[in-house]
Amino acid sequence: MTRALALLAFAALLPLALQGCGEDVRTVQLDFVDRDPNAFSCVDAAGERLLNRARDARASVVVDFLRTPLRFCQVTETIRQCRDPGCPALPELRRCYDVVAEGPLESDLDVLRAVEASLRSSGEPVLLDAPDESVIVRATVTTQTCAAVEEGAPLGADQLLACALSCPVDLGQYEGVLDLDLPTTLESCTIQEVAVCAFLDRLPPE
Amino acid sequence: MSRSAGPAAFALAAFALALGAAPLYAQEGEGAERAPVTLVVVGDAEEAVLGAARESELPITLRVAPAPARDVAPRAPRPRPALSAARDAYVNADFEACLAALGSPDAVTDALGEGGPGARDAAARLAFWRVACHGAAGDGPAAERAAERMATLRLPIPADAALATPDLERLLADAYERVSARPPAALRVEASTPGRVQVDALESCAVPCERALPPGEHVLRFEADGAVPEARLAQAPGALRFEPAPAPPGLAARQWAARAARGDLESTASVALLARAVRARNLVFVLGEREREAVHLRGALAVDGEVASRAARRGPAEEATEALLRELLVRGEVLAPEPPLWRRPGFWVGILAAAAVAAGVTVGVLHEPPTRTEVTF
Repeated sequence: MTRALALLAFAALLPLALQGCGEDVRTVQLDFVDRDPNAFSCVDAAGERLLNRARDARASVVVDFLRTPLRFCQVTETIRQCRDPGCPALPELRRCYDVVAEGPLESDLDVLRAVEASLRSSGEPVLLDAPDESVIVRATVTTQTCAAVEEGAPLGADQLLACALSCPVDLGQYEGVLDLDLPTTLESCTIQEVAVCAFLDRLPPE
Repeated sequence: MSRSAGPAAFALAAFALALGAAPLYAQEGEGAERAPVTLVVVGDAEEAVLGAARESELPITLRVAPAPARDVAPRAPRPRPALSAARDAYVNADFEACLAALGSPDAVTDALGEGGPGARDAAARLAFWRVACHGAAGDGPAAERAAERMATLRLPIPADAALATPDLERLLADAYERVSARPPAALRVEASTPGRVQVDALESCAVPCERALPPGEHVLRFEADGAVPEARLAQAPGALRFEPAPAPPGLAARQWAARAARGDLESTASVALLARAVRARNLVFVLGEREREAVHLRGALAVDGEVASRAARRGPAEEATEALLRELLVRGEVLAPEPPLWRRPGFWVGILAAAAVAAGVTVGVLHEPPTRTEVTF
């Protein structure tokens, strides 16, 4: 009879115990769109590659999450919405990574891959528990150090190297690879387009 | 992506519970003491019934015993060499040798007490030759006493009397006349067990009974199933009580065989005798007859020599045998009856376990584990 009671207790407590064990984990993997030209191919007004601003192949990648009510990936609509009513960055979710692009960097694609490899080498997730919100993920590449960024220094336009955006996603539902790219109207993106991307959360209303 | 295995874990838990609960049910039957039961089967379905009984899952320790042989040879009259020796001595006028050959006067009552065929004739001849030898030897009083005893026992005058003298015939006739002239006397017989008593190997009655007999000494032989026969002398008027010893297995087997030879296999007395014959505290006797593909079984259970239950079944041998044995043993209180389902501990354990598992599965199915989103490069 003791054994029977133990069995009953086990049966009764098992569901409760298992309650605490179960957890679903969704993974969203950020991925720079791998093509040539790409978000790292932008040039300044003089036609100089922005990547030339970086010395010793060092840079920082600032990842922001911009709150947006949008559900569709449409550039002009995104910009219009971010002007009004706005798509504010969630400051507590900002992450900054110091990266070193290693290896042969003969093309912008090589740079993109080197930066991505440097980001992934740490193995640390960007967010362990993302909010259940619709956001646009932005990765801004700058010559400013992470230390400066984390002290609150605003990003300078003359220090931008590249910028990429995701489509609006609901982090409460989305799962899988999330492409980061910089929509551009020309073959190579320009500093204006990089700036719009980098300051999307601070665009003035028209 | 990794998913928590909620429902699968609950299913596994249910499986584990089922595995864990199985020994509980198995233990229910194993804990009880297994009663020893002896099985005797007769009839043309004997093999089928024995086979089924051996495969039975009843909680008993089964012993199969063969039925005692039923072809009992009738008892032949016992030869009496003393009679021929006494007659030879009488013819040779050696009356002392005649009396010596006949032995003590008790030989007459001993012969009556033996019972069986020819006992009364033998006793009559022994008594007659004693009268004849005493008379021929010139011992008139002894001859008269022997003749009166012969008359009191109501023994017939044997054919040997043709060899006797007219004086002897007269002596016997006078003795029978004197005895018959006396008013009869009552002799009451009782016993510690039901049975029959035979008086002077001439008449019998079921005890307790009372007989009116010629006054004097008589031979009473008591016989009962399951008891050792006993012969004693009794005076009329008077009373006598028998307290026979229980029959040993061999005698019980012969008594059962005698009944079986008369077609009495299933009576209470017959089953009780069989239980004693095969030394069974719990005896199941089954009379099995084949009926096409099925069997027809009639059975009785004797516990401590008393028939405790009877039952009958018809059907396939395995099912009918199992059912018959179960019914006999339960009704005879050798086996405890199966408690109703709701009174079995296993039932409630099963119900509660099933409820717990159902609750667990329900929770497992309905429960949505917390979800988090991890963002990574």
